[in-house]
Amino acid sequence: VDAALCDDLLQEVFRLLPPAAGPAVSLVSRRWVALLRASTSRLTLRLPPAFTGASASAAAGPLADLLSRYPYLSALAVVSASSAAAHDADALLLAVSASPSATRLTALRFSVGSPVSPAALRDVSVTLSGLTSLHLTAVSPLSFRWLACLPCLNREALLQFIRRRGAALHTLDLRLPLDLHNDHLLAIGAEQGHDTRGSLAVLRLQSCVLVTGDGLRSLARTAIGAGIKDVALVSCDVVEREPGLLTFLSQSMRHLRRLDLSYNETLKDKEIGAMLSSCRNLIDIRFRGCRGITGESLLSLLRHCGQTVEVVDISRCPAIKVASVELFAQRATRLNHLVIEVSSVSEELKAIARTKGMKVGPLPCEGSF
Amino acid sequence: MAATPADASSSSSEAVVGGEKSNKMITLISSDGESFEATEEAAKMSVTIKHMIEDGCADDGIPLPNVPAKILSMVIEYCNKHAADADDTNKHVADPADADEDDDNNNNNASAGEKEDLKSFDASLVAVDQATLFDIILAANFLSIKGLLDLACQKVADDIKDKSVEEVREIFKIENDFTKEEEEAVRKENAWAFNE
Repeated sequence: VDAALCDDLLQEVFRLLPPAAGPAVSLVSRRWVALLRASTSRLTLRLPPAFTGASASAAAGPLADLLSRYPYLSALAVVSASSAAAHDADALLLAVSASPSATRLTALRFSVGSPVSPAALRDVSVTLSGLTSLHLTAVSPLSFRWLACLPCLNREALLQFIRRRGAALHTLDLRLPLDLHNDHLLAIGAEQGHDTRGSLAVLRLQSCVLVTGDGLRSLARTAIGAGIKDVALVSCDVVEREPGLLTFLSQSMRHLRRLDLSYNETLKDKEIGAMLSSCRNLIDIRFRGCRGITGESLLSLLRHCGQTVEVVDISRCPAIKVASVELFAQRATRLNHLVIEVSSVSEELKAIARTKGMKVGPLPCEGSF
Repeated sequence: MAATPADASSSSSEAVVGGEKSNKMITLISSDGESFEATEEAAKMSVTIKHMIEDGCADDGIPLPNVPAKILSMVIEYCNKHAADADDTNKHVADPADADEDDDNNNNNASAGEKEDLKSFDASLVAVDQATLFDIILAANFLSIKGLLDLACQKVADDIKDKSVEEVREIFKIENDFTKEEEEAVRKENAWAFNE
């Protein structure tokens, strides 16, 4: 009678079974367990806690073994059975990405009691490229660069992550094409109930075209926003679209020490001058690729930050004349690194650099970040 | 559904009564040589038979070498019942493409009593021994009658779901071919997958 139903039909029956029937069905015979596994498209695995004494990655081998028997999964959850677990999350994630179902997976929930690293996430994004839904509970060190490697993900995921973060963010470096918008900034600024003063120190945004001045202003007004020390708004439309925004930000972010405005091609001297007048603590400023600025901006920099600024990047600013650069280099008292392309370095500038013991020239690794 | 040219040229006796419905009878021949008659409409609940009719292969009766008489009569009973039900509101035959439309119309127009009637009919149709149930599944699969296939598979699933391993083996007459180690490995896997 067992042979009466062919594999396809038996699998039809299995697909109609509730999950609770799994254990009994799996123990009937070798054929049944094989067919049951082949007809399983959604699986939740609860890992036992790692035993003290056993290595944290002890579960990775058995996990890989188990997953090798389920080649048709489209949704997988790997969670730890108890919160006391101390699994090696990266090893477990790699086991998932090496499994036969990896390319088929559209949904993954991964919560094993310890954080996954961004490097591991980048590595697995090749095989897990079909993911539309990813649920992680901890990523350390915090970074979102790997998100760009998973193009099918629902972008609301980032928002949920920010909203539910346990510890206060320290650095937020986002180079997502087009995806960040104001809601994310508001979520970043939202109080979390514990002491957030000085918690977010670094905010780097690149090519975030959906961010508007309102979003940035709202963030700047919060206690978190006001504590930001390092801002990068690289090639962000908003800087060029909204005059006065930079000034508002510099007035609100009183602790601002580093500012990167690279590749904002239509940024004007006037805007820069107004902004710099509120900058008291600036030590590092980048204008690479800001084709619209002239020596006027360097004069403003000298006037307001001449005593503090140490690093300045004016590569690819063809409108800045050599004489302005030389004057600036001469007068900026604490300048120790002037980043500029080799072709723009005059003899006079070299002489000034030698005298003051400062570096002049391109960055060691030219090219994109 | 309009009468096709094949109807008019068929050698079987027929009387086309009103509207678009054909009362033409189709002969189905079981694997053991028994002949059964069914209305074309009921017969076309089987997509396999529907295609054969449309291809003009049905004139001298359709042989079904995979389906024994006992099962064929049950299948025809199912088709008669469900075709009549579908026919209450529209003339479409249960072609998979039309299935959803039929259900919507049925729900709108069939009374609750009729639906109950259909449900209890279905339940009693599959309240049979395992061997017969499997034969129904095989026949429904071969004949491409989705409703009957789902019905019979669901019955098997329902029969299994609350049973222990031994009971399931008993029902299906299956031998345990696991080694001790293999069985242990499956149990360990179940601990992860089913939190047992």
